[in-house]
Amino acid sequence: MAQAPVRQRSHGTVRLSVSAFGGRSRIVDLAEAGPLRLRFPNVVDGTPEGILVNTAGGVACGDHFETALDLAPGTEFVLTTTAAEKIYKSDGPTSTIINRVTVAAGANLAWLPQETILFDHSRLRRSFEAVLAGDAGLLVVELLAFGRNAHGERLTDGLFEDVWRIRRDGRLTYADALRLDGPIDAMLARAAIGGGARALGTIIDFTPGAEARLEEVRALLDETTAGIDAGASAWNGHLAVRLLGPAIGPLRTAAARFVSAYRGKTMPRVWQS
Amino acid sequence: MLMLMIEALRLMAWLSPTYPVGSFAYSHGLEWAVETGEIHDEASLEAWLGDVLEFGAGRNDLILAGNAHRFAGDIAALAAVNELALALAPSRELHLETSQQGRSFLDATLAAWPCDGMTGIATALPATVAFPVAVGAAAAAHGTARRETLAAYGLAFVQNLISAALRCAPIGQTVGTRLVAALAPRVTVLAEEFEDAGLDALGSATLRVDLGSFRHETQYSRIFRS
Repeated sequence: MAQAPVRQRSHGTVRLSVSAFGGRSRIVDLAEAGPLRLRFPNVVDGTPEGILVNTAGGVACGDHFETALDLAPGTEFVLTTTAAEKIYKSDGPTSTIINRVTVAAGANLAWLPQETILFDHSRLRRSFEAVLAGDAGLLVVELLAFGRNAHGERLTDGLFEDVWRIRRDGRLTYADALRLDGPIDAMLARAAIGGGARALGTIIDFTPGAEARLEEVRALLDETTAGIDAGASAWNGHLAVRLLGPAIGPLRTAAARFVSAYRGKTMPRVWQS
Repeated sequence: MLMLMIEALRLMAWLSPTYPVGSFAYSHGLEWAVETGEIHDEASLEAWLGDVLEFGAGRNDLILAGNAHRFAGDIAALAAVNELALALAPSRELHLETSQQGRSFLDATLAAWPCDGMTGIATALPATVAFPVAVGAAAAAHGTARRETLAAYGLAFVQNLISAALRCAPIGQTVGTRLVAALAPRVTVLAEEFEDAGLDALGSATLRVDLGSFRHETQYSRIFRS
Protein backbone atom coordinates (compact mmCIF):
# COMPACT_ATOMS: atom_id res chain seq x y z
CA MET A 1 0.00 0.00 0.00
CA ALA A 2 1.25 3.47 -0.85
CA GLN A 3 2.32 5.48 2.18
CA ALA A 4 1.45 9.11 2.62
CA PRO A 5 4.45 11.43 2.30
CA VAL A 6 6.08 11.83 5.71
CA ARG A 7 5.58 15.41 6.81
CA GLN A 8 4.07 17.70 9.37
CA ARG A 9 0.38 18.26 9.55
CA SER A 10 -0.57 21.00 7.07
CA HIS A 11 -2.88 23.91 7.63
CA GLY A 12 -3.78 25.68 4.42
CA THR A 13 -6.20 28.50 3.79
CA VAL A 14 -7.25 30.57 0.82
CA ARG A 15 -9.57 33.54 1.06
CA LEU A 16 -10.65 35.40 -2.01
CA SER A 17 -12.93 38.34 -2.69
CA VAL A 18 -14.21 39.12 -6.17
CA SER A 19 -15.60 42.58 -6.90
CA ALA A 20 -16.94 44.33 -9.96
CA PHE A 21 -15.04 47.19 -11.58
CA GLY A 22 -16.35 48.82 -14.71
CA GLY A 23 -18.71 45.92 -15.29
CA ARG A 24 -15.97 43.27 -15.03
CA SER A 25 -15.25 40.84 -12.22
CA ARG A 26 -11.85 41.45 -10.60
CA ILE A 27 -9.83 39.74 -7.91
CA VAL A 28 -9.59 42.36 -5.17
CA ASP A 29 -8.38 40.50 -2.17
CA LEU A 30 -6.50 37.25 -1.92
CA ALA A 31 -4.99 35.76 1.23
CA GLU A 32 -3.09 32.48 1.11
CA ALA A 33 -1.51 30.53 3.94
CA GLY A 34 0.15 27.14 4.16
CA PRO A 35 0.24 24.94 1.08
CA LEU A 36 -2.91 26.30 -0.60
CA ARG A 37 -2.52 28.70 -3.53
CA LEU A 38 -4.94 30.22 -5.96
CA ARG A 39 -3.81 31.00 -9.52
CA PHE A 40 -5.65 33.03 -12.15
CA PRO A 41 -4.25 32.11 -15.54
CA ASN A 42 -7.43 32.63 -17.53
CA VAL A 43 -10.31 34.97 -18.02
CA VAL A 44 -12.91 33.15 -20.11
CA ASP A 45 -15.63 35.30 -21.71
CA GLY A 46 -14.99 37.96 -19.09
CA THR A 47 -15.22 35.51 -16.20
CA PRO A 48 -12.04 35.04 -14.16
CA GLU A 49 -11.10 31.45 -13.46
CA GLY A 50 -9.34 30.52 -10.24
CA ILE A 51 -7.28 27.36 -10.04
CA LEU A 52 -6.74 26.04 -6.55
CA VAL A 53 -3.34 24.43 -6.04
CA ASN A 54 -2.45 22.25 -3.07
CA THR A 55 1.36 22.44 -3.10
CA ALA A 56 1.50 19.68 -0.46
CA GLY A 57 0.31 17.31 -3.18
CA GLY A 58 -2.60 15.90 -1.22
CA VAL A 59 -4.32 15.64 2.13
CA ALA A 60 -3.18 13.34 4.92
CA CYS A 61 -3.16 12.66 8.62
CA GLY A 62 -5.15 15.46 10.15
CA ASP A 63 -4.40 18.17 7.58
CA HIS A 64 -6.79 21.09 7.61
CA PHE A 65 -7.68 23.02 4.47
CA GLU A 66 -10.03 25.91 4.18
CA THR A 67 -11.19 27.82 1.12
CA ALA A 68 -13.43 30.88 1.37
CA LEU A 69 -14.78 32.79 -1.62
CA ASP A 70 -16.76 35.98 -1.45
CA LEU A 71 -18.45 37.26 -4.61
CA ALA A 72 -19.69 40.85 -4.60
CA PRO A 73 -22.97 41.79 -6.32
CA GLY A 74 -23.02 41.16 -10.04
CA THR A 75 -19.69 39.30 -10.24
CA GLU A 76 -18.87 36.02 -11.93
CA PHE A 77 -16.24 33.49 -10.96
CA VAL A 78 -15.25 29.93 -11.80
CA LEU A 79 -13.26 27.84 -9.35
CA THR A 80 -11.44 24.66 -10.28
CA THR A 81 -8.40 22.71 -9.06
CA THR A 82 -5.09 22.02 -10.72
CA ALA A 83 -5.42 18.26 -10.28
CA ALA A 84 -7.41 15.57 -8.53
CA GLU A 85 -7.24 15.97 -4.75
CA LYS A 86 -5.71 12.88 -3.15
CA ILE A 87 -6.78 11.92 0.34
CA TYR A 88 -3.96 9.67 1.59
CA LYS A 89 -3.98 6.88 4.10
CA SER A 90 -4.20 8.22 7.62
CA ASP A 91 -2.44 6.69 10.60
CA GLY A 92 -5.33 7.83 12.77
CA PRO A 93 -6.26 11.50 12.62
CA THR A 94 -9.11 12.76 10.46
CA SER A 95 -8.38 15.53 7.96
CA THR A 96 -10.78 18.37 7.37
CA ILE A 97 -11.61 20.41 4.29
CA ILE A 98 -13.90 23.38 4.82
CA ASN A 99 -15.27 25.24 1.81
CA ARG A 100 -17.30 28.38 2.30
CA VAL A 101 -18.76 30.61 -0.35
CA THR A 102 -20.76 33.80 -0.13
CA VAL A 103 -22.50 34.88 -3.30
CA ALA A 104 -24.20 38.27 -3.37
CA ALA A 105 -27.23 39.27 -5.42
CA GLY A 106 -26.72 39.04 -9.16
CA ALA A 107 -23.42 37.16 -8.74
CA ASN A 108 -22.68 33.70 -10.15
CA LEU A 109 -20.22 31.10 -8.97
CA ALA A 110 -19.37 27.85 -10.73
CA TRP A 111 -17.60 25.48 -8.32
CA LEU A 112 -15.90 22.97 -10.60
CA PRO A 113 -13.04 21.23 -8.80
CA GLN A 114 -11.55 18.10 -10.31
CA GLU A 115 -12.28 14.83 -8.55
CA THR A 116 -11.33 13.87 -5.01
CA ILE A 117 -9.70 10.45 -4.64
CA LEU A 118 -10.10 8.61 -1.35
CA PHE A 119 -7.19 6.24 -0.72
CA ASP A 120 -7.66 3.15 1.42
CA HIS A 121 -7.60 4.02 5.15
CA SER A 122 -8.13 7.72 4.44
CA ARG A 123 -10.15 9.77 6.91
CA LEU A 124 -11.79 13.00 5.79
CA ARG A 125 -14.50 15.33 7.00
CA ARG A 126 -15.48 17.86 4.38
CA SER A 127 -18.04 20.62 4.42
CA PHE A 128 -19.46 22.98 1.84
CA GLU A 129 -21.37 25.98 3.11
CA ALA A 130 -22.95 28.59 0.87
CA VAL A 131 -24.63 31.82 1.76
CA LEU A 132 -26.63 33.12 -1.18
CA ALA A 133 -28.40 36.45 -1.43
CA GLY A 134 -31.45 37.18 -3.53
CA ASP A 135 -30.96 35.89 -7.07
CA ALA A 136 -27.36 34.72 -6.57
CA GLY A 137 -26.39 31.73 -8.72
CA LEU A 138 -24.31 28.75 -7.64
CA LEU A 139 -23.45 25.58 -9.50
CA VAL A 140 -21.57 22.94 -7.51
CA VAL A 141 -19.92 19.88 -9.01
CA GLU A 142 -18.20 17.33 -6.77
CA LEU A 143 -16.78 14.05 -8.06
CA LEU A 144 -15.43 11.36 -5.79
CA ALA A 145 -13.40 8.22 -6.44
CA PHE A 146 -13.66 5.48 -3.84
CA GLY A 147 -10.09 4.21 -4.01
CA ARG A 148 -7.60 4.57 -6.82
CA ASN A 149 -9.77 2.79 -9.33
CA ALA A 150 -6.97 2.49 -11.89
CA HIS A 151 -4.94 0.48 -9.36
CA GLY A 152 -7.91 -1.67 -8.41
CA GLU A 153 -7.66 -0.28 -4.89
CA ARG A 154 -10.57 -1.05 -2.55
CA LEU A 155 -11.50 0.98 0.52
CA THR A 156 -11.25 -1.75 3.14
CA ASP A 157 -11.55 0.89 5.84
CA GLY A 158 -11.92 4.63 6.08
CA LEU A 159 -14.07 7.60 6.94
CA PHE A 160 -15.68 10.06 4.57
CA GLU A 161 -18.15 12.63 5.76
CA ASP A 162 -19.46 15.31 3.45
CA VAL A 163 -21.76 17.95 4.88
CA TRP A 164 -23.56 20.53 2.71
CA ARG A 165 -25.48 23.53 3.96
CA ILE A 166 -26.95 26.02 1.47
CA ARG A 167 -28.73 29.12 2.72
CA ARG A 168 -30.52 31.71 0.69
CA ASP A 169 -31.59 34.98 2.30
CA GLY A 170 -31.03 33.44 5.72
CA ARG A 171 -33.11 30.32 5.10
CA LEU A 172 -31.61 26.84 4.91
CA THR A 173 -32.80 25.49 1.57
CA TYR A 174 -30.59 22.45 1.09
CA ALA A 175 -28.63 20.19 3.39
CA ASP A 176 -26.89 16.89 2.91
CA ALA A 177 -24.77 14.71 5.14
CA LEU A 178 -23.08 11.76 3.49
CA ARG A 179 -21.40 9.45 5.96
CA LEU A 180 -19.37 6.41 5.01
CA ASP A 181 -17.61 5.05 8.05
CA GLY A 182 -15.80 1.71 8.22
CA PRO A 183 -15.49 -0.90 5.45
CA ILE A 184 -16.50 1.54 2.70
CA ASP A 185 -16.02 -0.86 -0.22
CA ALA A 186 -18.24 -3.49 1.44
CA MET A 187 -20.84 -0.82 2.20
CA LEU A 188 -20.81 0.42 -1.39
CA ALA A 189 -21.43 -3.14 -2.59
CA ARG A 190 -24.87 -3.05 -0.95
CA ALA A 191 -27.86 -2.35 -3.19
CA ALA A 192 -29.29 0.57 -1.20
CA ILE A 193 -25.89 2.21 -0.69
CA GLY A 194 -23.71 2.01 -3.79
CA GLY A 195 -24.75 -1.05 -5.80
CA GLY A 196 -21.06 -1.73 -6.41
CA ALA A 197 -20.24 1.82 -7.50
CA ARG A 198 -16.67 3.07 -7.10
CA ALA A 199 -17.31 6.67 -8.13
CA LEU A 200 -19.89 9.27 -7.19
CA GLY A 201 -20.85 12.53 -8.81
CA THR A 202 -23.04 15.22 -7.29
CA ILE A 203 -24.06 18.22 -9.35
CA ILE A 204 -26.41 20.76 -7.83
CA ASP A 205 -27.50 24.01 -9.39
CA PHE A 206 -28.86 26.66 -7.05
CA THR A 207 -29.18 29.23 -9.79
CA PRO A 208 -32.63 30.80 -10.10
CA GLY A 209 -34.44 29.05 -12.93
CA ALA A 210 -32.51 25.79 -12.49
CA GLU A 211 -35.57 23.94 -11.24
CA ALA A 212 -37.36 24.61 -14.51
CA ARG A 213 -34.57 22.89 -16.47
CA LEU A 214 -35.38 19.39 -15.18
CA GLU A 215 -36.80 18.00 -18.43
CA GLU A 216 -33.89 19.41 -20.44
CA VAL A 217 -31.46 17.91 -17.90
CA ARG A 218 -33.02 14.46 -18.12
CA ALA A 219 -32.62 14.52 -21.90
CA LEU A 220 -29.02 15.74 -21.54
CA LEU A 221 -28.22 12.96 -19.07
CA ASP A 222 -29.52 10.40 -21.54
CA GLU A 223 -27.16 11.80 -24.16
CA THR A 224 -24.07 12.30 -22.02
CA THR A 225 -23.93 9.63 -19.33
CA ALA A 226 -24.05 6.24 -21.07
CA GLY A 227 -22.78 3.50 -18.75
CA ILE A 228 -23.36 5.62 -15.65
CA ASP A 229 -26.31 5.35 -13.28
CA ALA A 230 -27.66 8.90 -13.46
CA GLY A 231 -30.75 10.74 -12.32
CA ALA A 232 -32.08 14.22 -11.68
CA SER A 233 -34.65 15.86 -9.45
CA ALA A 234 -35.67 19.44 -8.79
CA TRP A 235 -37.43 20.94 -5.79
CA ASN A 236 -37.27 24.00 -3.53
CA GLY A 237 -35.65 26.11 -6.23
CA HIS A 238 -32.67 23.88 -7.01
CA LEU A 239 -31.83 21.06 -9.38
CA ALA A 240 -29.82 18.01 -8.33
CA VAL A 241 -28.05 15.40 -10.43
CA ARG A 242 -26.51 12.25 -8.98
CA LEU A 243 -24.13 9.96 -10.81
CA LEU A 244 -22.87 6.56 -9.68
CA GLY A 245 -20.35 4.68 -11.77
CA PRO A 246 -18.05 1.67 -11.78
CA ALA A 247 -14.90 3.83 -11.90
CA ILE A 248 -13.93 7.50 -11.81
CA GLY A 249 -12.66 7.55 -15.42
CA PRO A 250 -15.98 7.07 -17.20
CA LEU A 251 -17.86 9.01 -14.52
CA ARG A 252 -15.58 12.01 -14.91
CA THR A 253 -15.94 11.90 -18.68
CA ALA A 254 -19.72 11.73 -18.40
CA ALA A 255 -19.87 14.50 -15.79
CA ALA A 256 -17.66 16.80 -17.87
CA ARG A 257 -19.77 16.17 -20.96
CA PHE A 258 -22.97 16.84 -19.07
CA VAL A 259 -21.72 19.95 -17.27
CA SER A 260 -20.34 21.51 -20.47
CA ALA A 261 -23.61 20.94 -22.27
CA TYR A 262 -25.62 22.17 -19.31
CA ARG A 263 -23.58 25.35 -18.91
CA GLY A 264 -23.10 25.84 -22.65
CA LYS A 265 -19.38 26.31 -21.95
CA THR A 266 -16.36 24.07 -22.19
CA MET A 267 -14.87 22.83 -18.94
CA PRO A 268 -11.92 24.79 -17.53
CA ARG A 269 -8.73 23.94 -19.44
CA VAL A 270 -7.22 21.94 -16.55
CA TRP A 271 -10.08 19.45 -16.95
CA GLN A 272 -9.15 18.69 -20.51
CA SER A 273 -5.76 17.08 -19.88
CA MET B 1 -38.28 3.24 33.30
CA LEU B 2 -41.77 1.90 32.86
CA MET B 3 -43.98 3.65 30.42
CA LEU B 4 -47.50 4.54 31.44
CA MET B 5 -50.05 2.48 29.59
CA ILE B 6 -51.77 5.57 28.19
CA GLU B 7 -48.47 6.79 26.74
CA ALA B 8 -47.93 3.47 24.98
CA LEU B 9 -51.45 3.53 23.60
CA ARG B 10 -51.02 7.10 22.37
CA LEU B 11 -47.89 6.15 20.43
CA MET B 12 -49.64 3.11 19.01
CA ALA B 13 -52.52 5.29 17.84
CA TRP B 14 -50.32 8.02 16.36
CA LEU B 15 -48.12 5.58 14.46
CA SER B 16 -50.81 3.19 13.37
CA PRO B 17 -51.51 2.84 9.62
CA THR B 18 -55.02 4.17 10.30
CA TYR B 19 -53.75 7.52 11.56
CA PRO B 20 -54.70 10.06 8.88
CA VAL B 21 -51.26 10.99 7.56
CA GLY B 22 -51.42 9.08 4.28
CA SER B 23 -48.32 6.92 4.86
CA PHE B 24 -49.75 4.27 2.54
CA ALA B 25 -49.03 6.56 -0.43
CA TYR B 26 -45.25 6.54 0.09
CA SER B 27 -42.68 3.83 -0.56
CA HIS B 28 -39.49 5.85 0.08
CA GLY B 29 -38.06 4.82 -3.28
CA LEU B 30 -38.80 1.14 -2.70
CA GLU B 31 -41.12 0.97 -5.70
CA TRP B 32 -38.25 1.89 -8.01
CA ALA B 33 -36.00 -0.75 -6.40
CA VAL B 34 -38.70 -3.32 -7.08
CA GLU B 35 -39.05 -2.09 -10.68
CA THR B 36 -35.31 -2.52 -11.28
CA GLY B 37 -35.27 -5.94 -9.64
CA GLU B 38 -33.05 -4.88 -6.74
CA ILE B 39 -35.81 -6.04 -4.42
CA HIS B 40 -37.16 -9.39 -5.55
CA ASP B 41 -37.31 -11.69 -2.51
CA GLU B 42 -37.11 -11.81 1.26
CA ALA B 43 -33.33 -11.52 1.48
CA SER B 44 -33.05 -8.56 -0.90
CA LEU B 45 -35.94 -6.79 0.84
CA GLU B 46 -34.43 -7.35 4.28
CA ALA B 47 -31.03 -6.05 3.14
CA TRP B 48 -32.61 -2.97 1.57
CA LEU B 49 -34.83 -2.20 4.57
CA GLY B 50 -32.00 -2.77 7.05
CA ASP B 51 -29.79 -0.33 5.16
CA VAL B 52 -32.49 2.33 4.82
CA LEU B 53 -33.09 1.93 8.55
CA GLU B 54 -29.48 1.94 9.74
CA PHE B 55 -27.67 3.98 7.07
CA GLY B 56 -30.45 6.09 5.58
CA ALA B 57 -33.63 7.94 6.42
CA GLY B 58 -34.53 5.63 9.31
CA ARG B 59 -31.45 6.64 11.23
CA ASN B 60 -31.72 10.33 10.32
CA ASP B 61 -35.42 10.46 11.15
CA LEU B 62 -34.77 9.04 14.62
CA ILE B 63 -32.09 11.68 15.24
CA LEU B 64 -34.44 14.42 14.00
CA ALA B 65 -37.37 13.12 16.04
CA GLY B 66 -35.14 12.94 19.10
CA ASN B 67 -33.99 16.53 18.65
CA ALA B 68 -37.54 17.75 18.04
CA HIS B 69 -38.52 15.98 21.26
CA ARG B 70 -35.66 17.59 23.18
CA PHE B 71 -36.36 21.11 21.85
CA ALA B 72 -40.16 20.95 21.73
CA GLY B 73 -40.43 23.76 24.27
CA ASP B 74 -37.88 26.02 22.58
CA ILE B 75 -39.54 27.77 19.64
CA ALA B 76 -36.36 28.87 17.84
CA ALA B 77 -34.52 25.57 18.33
CA LEU B 78 -37.53 23.51 17.21
CA ALA B 79 -37.94 25.65 14.10
CA ALA B 80 -34.25 25.14 13.31
CA VAL B 81 -34.55 21.34 13.64
CA ASN B 82 -37.54 21.44 11.30
CA GLU B 83 -35.73 23.63 8.77
CA LEU B 84 -32.80 21.21 8.75
CA ALA B 85 -35.08 18.16 8.48
CA LEU B 86 -36.82 19.62 5.42
CA ALA B 87 -33.56 20.73 3.80
CA LEU B 88 -32.13 17.21 4.23
CA ALA B 89 -34.84 15.64 2.08
CA PRO B 90 -32.75 14.31 -0.83
CA SER B 91 -35.31 14.53 -3.66
CA ARG B 92 -38.58 16.13 -4.64
CA GLU B 93 -40.62 13.03 -3.77
CA LEU B 94 -38.87 12.41 -0.45
CA HIS B 95 -39.45 16.06 0.44
CA LEU B 96 -43.14 15.57 -0.31
CA GLU B 97 -43.15 12.32 1.70
CA THR B 98 -41.88 13.92 4.88
CA SER B 99 -43.63 17.31 4.56
CA GLN B 100 -47.08 16.04 3.64
CA GLN B 101 -47.09 13.48 6.44
CA GLY B 102 -45.65 15.98 8.90
CA ARG B 103 -48.36 18.54 8.22
CA SER B 104 -51.12 15.93 8.33
CA PHE B 105 -49.79 14.45 11.57
CA LEU B 106 -49.61 17.83 13.27
CA ASP B 107 -53.12 18.82 12.18
CA ALA B 108 -54.67 15.50 13.22
CA THR B 109 -52.89 15.48 16.58
CA LEU B 110 -53.73 19.12 17.34
CA ALA B 111 -57.36 18.35 16.71
CA ALA B 112 -57.60 15.09 18.66
CA TRP B 113 -54.95 15.53 21.39
CA PRO B 114 -54.82 19.27 22.08
CA CYS B 115 -52.76 20.56 24.99
CA ASP B 116 -50.74 23.71 25.77
CA GLY B 117 -47.58 22.07 24.50
CA MET B 118 -49.19 21.19 21.18
CA THR B 119 -50.35 24.78 20.75
CA GLY B 120 -46.79 25.95 21.37
CA ILE B 121 -45.44 23.57 18.76
CA ALA B 122 -48.00 24.64 16.20
CA THR B 123 -46.95 28.24 16.79
CA ALA B 124 -43.25 27.46 16.48
CA LEU B 125 -43.50 25.49 13.26
CA PRO B 126 -44.21 26.91 9.79
CA ALA B 127 -46.80 25.45 7.41
CA THR B 128 -44.27 22.92 6.12
CA VAL B 129 -43.32 20.39 8.77
CA ALA B 130 -41.10 17.32 8.53
CA PHE B 131 -42.78 14.11 9.75
CA PRO B 132 -40.20 13.03 12.38
CA VAL B 133 -40.14 16.57 13.78
CA ALA B 134 -43.94 16.62 14.13
CA VAL B 135 -43.95 13.22 15.88
CA GLY B 136 -41.02 13.97 18.19
CA ALA B 137 -42.37 17.37 19.23
CA ALA B 138 -45.93 16.10 19.77
CA ALA B 139 -44.65 13.23 21.90
CA ALA B 140 -42.70 15.66 24.05
CA ALA B 141 -45.71 17.95 24.39
CA HIS B 142 -47.61 15.01 25.87
CA GLY B 143 -44.74 13.96 28.13
CA THR B 144 -44.05 10.74 26.24
CA ALA B 145 -40.58 9.31 26.82
CA ARG B 146 -38.10 9.99 24.04
CA ARG B 147 -36.60 6.54 23.58
CA GLU B 148 -39.99 4.87 23.30
CA THR B 149 -41.11 7.53 20.85
CA LEU B 150 -38.09 6.86 18.65
CA ALA B 151 -38.61 3.11 18.81
CA ALA B 152 -42.28 3.44 17.87
CA TYR B 153 -41.43 5.83 15.02
CA GLY B 154 -38.73 3.48 13.74
CA LEU B 155 -41.01 0.46 13.76
CA ALA B 156 -43.78 2.38 11.98
CA PHE B 157 -41.24 3.43 9.34
CA VAL B 158 -40.23 -0.19 8.75
CA GLN B 159 -43.81 -1.46 8.77
CA ASN B 160 -44.89 1.14 6.25
CA LEU B 161 -42.15 0.09 3.82
CA ILE B 162 -42.99 -3.57 4.29
CA SER B 163 -46.61 -2.75 3.61
CA ALA B 164 -45.49 -0.99 0.42
CA ALA B 165 -43.44 -4.04 -0.56
CA LEU B 166 -46.45 -6.32 -0.09
CA ARG B 167 -48.29 -4.22 -2.63
CA CYS B 168 -45.61 -3.88 -5.32
CA ALA B 169 -43.11 -6.72 -4.87
CA PRO B 170 -43.40 -10.51 -5.05
CA ILE B 171 -43.49 -10.62 -1.26
CA GLY B 172 -46.19 -12.40 0.74
CA GLN B 173 -47.76 -11.64 4.11
CA THR B 174 -45.76 -14.32 5.93
CA VAL B 175 -42.47 -12.93 4.72
CA GLY B 176 -43.55 -9.38 5.52
CA THR B 177 -44.47 -10.28 9.06
CA ARG B 178 -41.24 -12.21 9.54
CA LEU B 179 -39.29 -9.13 8.44
CA VAL B 180 -41.13 -6.91 10.93
CA ALA B 181 -40.09 -9.36 13.64
CA ALA B 182 -36.50 -9.48 12.37
CA LEU B 183 -36.10 -5.71 12.11
CA ALA B 184 -37.82 -4.74 15.37
CA PRO B 185 -34.76 -5.52 17.56
CA ARG B 186 -32.61 -3.43 15.22
CA VAL B 187 -35.06 -0.55 15.69
CA THR B 188 -34.70 -0.74 19.47
CA VAL B 189 -30.91 -0.62 19.16
CA LEU B 190 -31.15 2.56 17.07
CA ALA B 191 -33.65 4.16 19.45
CA GLU B 192 -31.19 3.64 22.31
CA GLU B 193 -28.21 4.77 20.27
CA PHE B 194 -29.86 8.01 19.12
CA GLU B 195 -31.96 8.89 22.16
CA ASP B 196 -29.54 11.66 23.12
CA ALA B 197 -27.77 12.18 19.78
CA GLY B 198 -27.28 15.76 18.60
CA LEU B 199 -27.77 16.97 15.05
CA ASP B 200 -24.07 16.37 14.37
CA ALA B 201 -24.86 12.67 14.30
CA LEU B 202 -26.96 13.09 11.13
CA GLY B 203 -25.57 11.29 8.13
CA SER B 204 -26.70 8.81 5.54
CA ALA B 205 -25.08 6.54 2.98
CA THR B 206 -28.06 5.32 0.96
CA LEU B 207 -26.97 6.91 -2.30
CA ARG B 208 -28.96 4.51 -4.44
CA VAL B 209 -32.15 5.19 -2.50
CA ASP B 210 -31.71 8.89 -3.29
CA LEU B 211 -30.87 8.22 -6.93
CA GLY B 212 -33.73 5.71 -7.19
CA SER B 213 -36.08 8.33 -5.83
CA PHE B 214 -34.98 10.65 -8.67
CA ARG B 215 -35.67 7.90 -11.18
CA HIS B 216 -39.03 7.05 -9.61
CA GLU B 217 -40.31 10.47 -10.72
CA THR B 218 -40.43 9.21 -14.29
CA GLN B 219 -41.27 5.57 -13.57
CA TYR B 220 -43.88 4.56 -16.16
CA SER B 221 -46.21 2.52 -13.98
CA ARG B 222 -46.38 3.47 -10.32
CA ILE B 223 -48.76 3.35 -7.40
CA PHE B 224 -46.75 5.34 -4.84
CA ARG B 225 -45.94 9.03 -4.54
CA SER B 226 -42.33 8.25 -3.59
